[in-house]
Amino acid sequence: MTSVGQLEIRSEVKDGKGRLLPVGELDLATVPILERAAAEALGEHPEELVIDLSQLAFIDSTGLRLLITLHDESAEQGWALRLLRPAESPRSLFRLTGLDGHLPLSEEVS
Amino acid sequence: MAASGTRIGPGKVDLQLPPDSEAPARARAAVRDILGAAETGSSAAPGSPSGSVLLLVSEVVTNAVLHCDKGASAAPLRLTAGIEGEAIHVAVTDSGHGFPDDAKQFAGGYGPFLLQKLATRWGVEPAQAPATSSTVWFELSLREPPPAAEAPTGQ
Repeated sequence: MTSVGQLEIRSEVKDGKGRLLPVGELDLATVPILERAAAEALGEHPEELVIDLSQLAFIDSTGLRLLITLHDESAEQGWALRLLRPAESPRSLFRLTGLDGHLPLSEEVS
Repeated sequence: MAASGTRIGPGKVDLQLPPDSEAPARARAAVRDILGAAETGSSAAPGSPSGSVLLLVSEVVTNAVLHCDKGASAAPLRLTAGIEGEAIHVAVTDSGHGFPDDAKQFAGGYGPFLLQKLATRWGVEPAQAPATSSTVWFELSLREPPPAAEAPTGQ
């Protein structure tokens, strides 16, 4: 079975802060991988979940919808979401959809 | 199940894709190949015409996968792409019942919005009896950056 458009995620929860670094492409095939990693990190009840988007080579609207869902859940459940340093593909999609003004984007590492 | 089909010449793709979750990535890889051959510059930088093409390929194929008939007997999707002059033409044909006749219902999400925003032209060719397969196609100029990509949006 060849695999294309892969996604790997580095994950840690430390000092009340969850941090996910998805590396690869976020689409129909790989959205469940990030979804699962986010659910696992949130299972430890961090105050903040940071998703570092700097290594995300590709995202389409399937991936975008997951980020919107996480954003909505953060508001409902009282934790903070931060989308860190989006690479060109996510940055471009946020801009095209006008969501760059609504999603919690950040350039700050800490 | 692997994708089958042949590149039918420089700048052209004609692929049969199993309608599964890996179809969008396979389609992007195939189109990326002909874009790479057509363009100077290494990668298809998102925000560039090539980045827009790959995004739209992913949107259209995803829609086809989500809405086509499922099951073991699911017929493959057909992806064709060709570069003529300074434009690329991409078409995705589903195996039946994939695309609604009404383009407004298509994907019910960002797909049509992004096609409207990025493609030079696009359209849906609904199934015509007795055929049950329908096609979504788009064209995009590879020369000019899409103006919409640079315009402020909804701020």
